[in-house]
Amino acid sequence: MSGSRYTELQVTTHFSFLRGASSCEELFATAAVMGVEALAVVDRNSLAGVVRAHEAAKTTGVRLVVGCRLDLTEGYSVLVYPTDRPAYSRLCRLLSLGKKRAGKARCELGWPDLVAYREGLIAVLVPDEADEDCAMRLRRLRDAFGDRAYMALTLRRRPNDQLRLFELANLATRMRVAPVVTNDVLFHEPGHRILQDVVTCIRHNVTIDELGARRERHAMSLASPRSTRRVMTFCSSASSRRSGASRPTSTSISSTSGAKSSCNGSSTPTAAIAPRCAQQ
Amino acid sequence: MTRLLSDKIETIEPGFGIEMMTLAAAVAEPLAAKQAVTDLVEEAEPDVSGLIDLLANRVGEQKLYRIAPVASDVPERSVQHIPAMAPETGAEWPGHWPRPSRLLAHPEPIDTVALLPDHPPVSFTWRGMRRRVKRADGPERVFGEWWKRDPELIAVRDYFRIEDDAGERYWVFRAGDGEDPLTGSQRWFLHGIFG
Repeated sequence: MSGSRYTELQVTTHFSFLRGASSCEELFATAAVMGVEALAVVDRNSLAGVVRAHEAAKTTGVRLVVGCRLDLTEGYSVLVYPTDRPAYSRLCRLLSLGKKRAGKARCELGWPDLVAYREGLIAVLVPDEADEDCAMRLRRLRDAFGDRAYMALTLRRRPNDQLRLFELANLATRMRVAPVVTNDVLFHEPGHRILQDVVTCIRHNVTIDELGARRERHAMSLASPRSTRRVMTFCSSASSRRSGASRPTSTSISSTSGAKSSCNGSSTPTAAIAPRCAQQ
Repeated sequence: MTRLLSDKIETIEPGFGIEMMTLAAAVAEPLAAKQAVTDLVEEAEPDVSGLIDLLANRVGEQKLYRIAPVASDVPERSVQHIPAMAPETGAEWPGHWPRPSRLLAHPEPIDTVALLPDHPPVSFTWRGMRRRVKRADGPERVFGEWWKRDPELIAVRDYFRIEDDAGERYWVFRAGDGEDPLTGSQRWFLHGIFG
C-alpha cells in the first residue's frame, strides 16, 4: 500500500484569517516529505494564499490545486476549484462581488451567486449530517454542476463517525454525486495545535479556558497518503459490517485524484493570474 | 432563625457559663411582602434555600454542592462542583454524543487483544473477567488540553464504545493514537460504564 496516491483537497492556510495556522511553505514542505501528490489550497472566501502556495509548490514539487472554500449565506460551505483560466477569472469576480456586498474583511455569497458563476468550476459540498438538508443541497449541486459535483467525506473522529460516513456515501450515490475523501487540514504538524487553539480563541474573543466546545475538535494536521487510506478503508469496512452492505471508500480516494486531474488550469496559468487577483 | 441557631447550640462549650449574647447581622436586607403565586395555573417554585441553609449548617458548606457540566473534551474535566445555590453555569455537553452514565474516578487498566492502530479491542479483561467484544463504535479522538499541563500537547486518547457478549456496554480508551509512542503509552483503560 506504500504506493497509494492521495491528493489532499481541503487545506486551509493562514490566509484564512484566524482559521488556518500554517503557512503555505510549511504545508507544502510537509506534504513533500509525506509523499502527498498535490495539495488543494482552499481558503475561506479568498484566493489570497494562491501566490504563496504557487511559489511553495514550485520549490517543493508538490502540485498545487487552486481552490476556494465558499461559506454561503445559506449556512453551508462548498469547495470550488476552477478547471481553467476563464473559470479562475469568474471565481475572482464572484469573490469580488461577495466582498463588495459585505464590506471590509467579509464576504456575502449565496447559492444563486455560485450558480451564476458556476461555469468551469468543480464543486465539492462539505456536508454535516446525512439529513434532508444535505440531500436537498446535493440535488441542487447535481443539477447545477452535473458531473463536476462532488461531496467531501471527512473522518471527524467523533462518535458514530462510521455510520455518518456510510450514510453520507449512500446518500451521495443515490443523488449520483461522487464522494471524495478530504482531511480538512488546518495545520501541518500536530505541534501546531497550540497555535490553532490560540487563533480560534482570538476569533471567538475568549480565553483558552472559556473556549470549551468551540475548540476545533476535528482539526487535523497533514496526514500521509498511507494513513489516510488505512483509516478510510477501516471505516468503510466497519460500516459495511454494520449494515451488511458494501461501500468501497477506496473509489472515493481514487476519485480524489480524478477530481484533481480535471483541475487542469491549476499550476502554471496561476502565475499569470495571481498577481492581478491578489490586489482584490 | 431559631432553628439555625439551636442546631449548633449543643456544640458550644459554656465553660463557667454565659453572661451575655450578642447577635450581629453583617448584612441585613429589608424583607418585603412578596406575592408567591402570580398565576393561578402556575406552580409556585419550591424554595429550597431554607433547607440548604440547614444542611450547610450541619455538614459544612464545602460538602454541599451541585454538579454542573464543563465544556471540556477530557472526560475527567467535564464535570465541576458548584455551590448549591449558584445559578446555572450555562455550559452544556454536546447532547448527541453518547457518554457513559457512570464514569470511573480513575481509568482502570485492562488487558486487551486489539489490532493497532484503528481497531477496537476484540476482547478485554477487566477486574479478572474476560469479555468478548461483540460490537464497537469509534474511535473518538480526544486531544489533551495543552494549557493545563505541558505533556498534554501531543497526548491523544482514542475512545471506543464497546458491547460485550452479555450486552453490557463500556467506554474504553487507548492512551495514544496507536502509531506514535509520543502520544501515549498505547495501553488500554476502561473509563466508564453505560447504564
